[in-house]
Amino acid sequence: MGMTARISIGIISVLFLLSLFSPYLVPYDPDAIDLGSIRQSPSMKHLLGTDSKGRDILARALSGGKISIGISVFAAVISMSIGLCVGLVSGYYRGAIDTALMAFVDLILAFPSLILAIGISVLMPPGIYTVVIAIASVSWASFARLIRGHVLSVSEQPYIEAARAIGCSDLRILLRHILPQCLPLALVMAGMKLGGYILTEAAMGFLGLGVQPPTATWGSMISSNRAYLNAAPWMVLPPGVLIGLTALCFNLLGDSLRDGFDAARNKLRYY
Amino acid sequence: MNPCRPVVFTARSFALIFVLGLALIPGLSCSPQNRPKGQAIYRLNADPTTLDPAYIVDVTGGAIAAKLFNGLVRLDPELRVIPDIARTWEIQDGGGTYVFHLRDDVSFSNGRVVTAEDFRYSFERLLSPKGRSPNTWVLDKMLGAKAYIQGSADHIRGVEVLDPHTLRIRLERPFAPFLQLLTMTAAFVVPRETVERLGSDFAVHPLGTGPFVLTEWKHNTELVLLGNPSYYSGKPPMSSIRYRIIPEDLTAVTEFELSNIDVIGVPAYEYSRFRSSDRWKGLLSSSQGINTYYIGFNCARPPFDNPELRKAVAAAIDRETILRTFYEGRGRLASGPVPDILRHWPAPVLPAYDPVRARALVLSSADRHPVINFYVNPDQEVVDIAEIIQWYLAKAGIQVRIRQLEWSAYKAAINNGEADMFWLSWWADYPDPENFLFPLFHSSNHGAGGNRSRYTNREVDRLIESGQRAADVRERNQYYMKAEHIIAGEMPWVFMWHKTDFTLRQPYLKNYHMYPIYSIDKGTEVSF
Amino acid sequence: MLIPLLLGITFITFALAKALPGDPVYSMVGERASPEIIEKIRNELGAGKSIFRQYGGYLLLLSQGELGRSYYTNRKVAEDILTKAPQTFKLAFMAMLIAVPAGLLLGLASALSRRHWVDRTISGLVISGMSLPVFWSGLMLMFLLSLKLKLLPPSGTGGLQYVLLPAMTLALPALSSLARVTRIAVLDSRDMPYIRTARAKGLQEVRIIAAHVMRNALIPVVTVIGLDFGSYLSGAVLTETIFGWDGIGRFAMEGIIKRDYPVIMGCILVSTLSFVIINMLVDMLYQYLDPRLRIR
Repeated sequence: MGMTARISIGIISVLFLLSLFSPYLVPYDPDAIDLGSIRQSPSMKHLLGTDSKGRDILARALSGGKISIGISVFAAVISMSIGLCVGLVSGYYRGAIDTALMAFVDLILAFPSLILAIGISVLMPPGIYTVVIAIASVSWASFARLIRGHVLSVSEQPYIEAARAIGCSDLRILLRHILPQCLPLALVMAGMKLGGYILTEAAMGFLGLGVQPPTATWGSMISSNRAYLNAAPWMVLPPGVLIGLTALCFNLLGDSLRDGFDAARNKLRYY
Repeated sequence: MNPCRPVVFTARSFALIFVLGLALIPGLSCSPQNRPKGQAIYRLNADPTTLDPAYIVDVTGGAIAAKLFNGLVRLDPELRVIPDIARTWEIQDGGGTYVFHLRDDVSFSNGRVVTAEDFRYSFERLLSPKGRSPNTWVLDKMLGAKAYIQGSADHIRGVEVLDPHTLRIRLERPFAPFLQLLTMTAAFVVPRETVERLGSDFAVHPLGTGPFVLTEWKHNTELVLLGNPSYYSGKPPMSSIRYRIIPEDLTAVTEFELSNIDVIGVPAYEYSRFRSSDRWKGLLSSSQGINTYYIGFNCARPPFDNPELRKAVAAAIDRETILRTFYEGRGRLASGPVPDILRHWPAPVLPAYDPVRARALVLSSADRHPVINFYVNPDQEVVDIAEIIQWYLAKAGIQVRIRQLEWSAYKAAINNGEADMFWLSWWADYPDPENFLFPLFHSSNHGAGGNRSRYTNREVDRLIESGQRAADVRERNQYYMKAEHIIAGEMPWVFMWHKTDFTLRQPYLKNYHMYPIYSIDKGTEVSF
Repeated sequence: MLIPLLLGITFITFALAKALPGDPVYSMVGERASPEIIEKIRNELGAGKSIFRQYGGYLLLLSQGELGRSYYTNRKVAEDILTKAPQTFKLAFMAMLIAVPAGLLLGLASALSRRHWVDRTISGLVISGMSLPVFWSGLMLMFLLSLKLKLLPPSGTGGLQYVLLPAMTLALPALSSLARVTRIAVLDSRDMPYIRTARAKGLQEVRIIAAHVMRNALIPVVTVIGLDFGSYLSGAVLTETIFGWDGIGRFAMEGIIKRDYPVIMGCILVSTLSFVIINMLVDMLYQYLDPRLRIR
């Protein structure tokens, strides 16, 4: 694993750990209101300043990290799982099932993803799980398509035919022979999509569809303090930087995974 | 091949493009825009949904309609009822009958003179069962109105045209604030022939008697009103008004500072900046709004059917500090539901902020660790206040979950009693204390009628009804005072504050006044 | 192929909108409505009929080009979309105008100066550009260019200067992904055998790049431009909200918040339709650009 990949994982882990342990690191409770110190600019007392209710911005920004990162990873896992299942079934059994499933996949892919995710998320009460389900419900489709294509070629292999000949059940073939072939591909795709998940989660937080007040996530912090852009920009700057940093790390990680995968596959020049 | 050449090649082209780009920038810088002579530019933060006075329910629409239409009477800056199209009137039968004598020199902007028949048409149109007006309550006190609304009568019995310029209105029973109801948007007069010709398009092509005429409406962009030279009290000093629709406060403030807007409502987060700026502080106007902001309780079921718990919540919240710090003093602390402007009797005295007492009350109540759902609307400022309240109540041992719903779900939850605790405000429809008592606390108005806290108190009902019937204003105030004192004691709400509105105007705008009720401003005073 | 897809899209949109919780009636009737009025309006909205009859009715209306009337404003949804969609397309077009040349140039520069510090910087900037949330970069651009430097107005309608900020915001992620794709495409085609032949023939490097490399690089690039259009539509929801831009992105968002079913369905339909059509056009363009695909 290349240098960039290691640095990226390192940064994300640090952010996540910082977020988990933030109650011990920052002397302020992220939800504690202090009407005597509202809208203070960054100072020694509050390193990143306070918001319109006197809450410490550093504390809130740190504590929001675990939710955002958690949601993205969770959504990736679910999308990948559903996509794998659908892709495996579709690619292996072919025929009518394949046509039907792929038609449905095409249908989902026909929608601009954020719009569909928003549409799904308003069916449920706002909260963490709603965001995860909404992102996953839209994102599984590209996994399914990719896996199905791969399964189509893998299941042509002679050893699969041999396995069938000796009487292996379909389930066994799928799980023991085909799935392991698809996992690296799925993982790479998940890695590449993680950056997008962070951004989508932030967007949904921004639009008010995610966690409810007073809990902070990066997107909701930007949205609730957006009016103070001119009067108190320190309220809006840190969460955005954090989102960008995390997405950047995820993107770099995804790139490294893909590069490594391609290099392993092609053994050709690539960087 | 020289590997550096491609780099140089592209670097040079970049530099070229960059320099070219820089050259464009001065041409794009924002600067004051040209405007037609004598045009005032105002800002709206949303597109009006309709400009048909029978269907307008929002302040935006109402403020514009006030400049396009007239009614029988209107309000003056001191909130008294003064003549508009009705020159004079008599009140007979102890407030049960009104006879209006109309001017004969008022015409619609299509040239036709207004007659009493036009008013009868407009009122019947408002109440018509074939229409869908949500404002029927404004005129349903008239005799025979209920029958007409249900479709069992062809005309409203209580509205009679005695001659082309005399209108007699009889009420079901005397109702003291009736004249003030007639100042409302829903009671404006509309021309029958235009309404029948345009049908539902009248909402986007309104035509009235007002000092301005709507000439242009680019949805979500702007509206242009042109001065009406044949307005009955004279041509307005401004030749036209343009309303720019700018939903984003940041943009509106920037445009205002560039002199592209003449008046803006001051957004909350810019208030301190303007107030401390030497350039702007003299141009701030404020008006004590006729409104009350409150936390409502659902008094019809647990946990808030218990007045002790309600009092605990009220004692746990330091309203005065919130108003002073977070709200920057932009309001007056409420002593009861009736705003100070309208209260002409001694105010109730509410218990002070007492977190210790609050905690004790909570502990002694049935459920020692209550969990409450607090319903709020998506407005960021409301959510902020909700979080503050959540924190105060947590200190008293009450756990609050903030349920932030979009407007329609929020209203539905409150109106059908799903919400146990909610944040809401009530803005005056007309400037009479009755408007802050009857719709909000009379037991016949539970739910969407206005009494969202589902409060029931027979004594209060009786007092309010007596006040509505009484002809003498002192007698009315006695009834209202007793009712308000009972209500303040039982706390179906936590009475928070009466919000003060602030606007900022340009130095070149003269004669600008802020009014507590939007319909007072017909746009005929300001000038350059 | 297109028709079943469209039918599927309309059914999904319809099912989605119907599954939404909440009651649109209260947005319309104001503060003091009586139960009779509420009941009357609810009946008009047809909530009582069966769901399949409602869908059938909707399809009938669609075939007549009718998208219903907004529950909230009672204006025709089709009319509103017709006025607002051009605004979004205007924004997307401006964004494309910024993103495509800039992305291509950056990608080209990056590829040509491989391993040079120019390449590293550009690659770094590009990947950062992709990682920034579009609503935050919009706010930052607004803050810097508009509020502090007063170069451009923060939003509004009017001349060119109003569209620049939102267009730049929208262009940023697309620009970044274009730059990356261009870079890879150029690098790939640069090492193709026929390029080596061209060099051996003695052609100038510049001519090689312009005539041969770029043309082949265009193929994947065009695909990405088409796919990015979908990101313009999605990103438009956020960008239009921040900048108060009156397009269908913001219209859809407000419709969802207010539970204005006809508006929601209309916006999703139109944006998906345009996405599908653009992709179809991209496919056709793709076939034109790559002669190898033409022989079927």
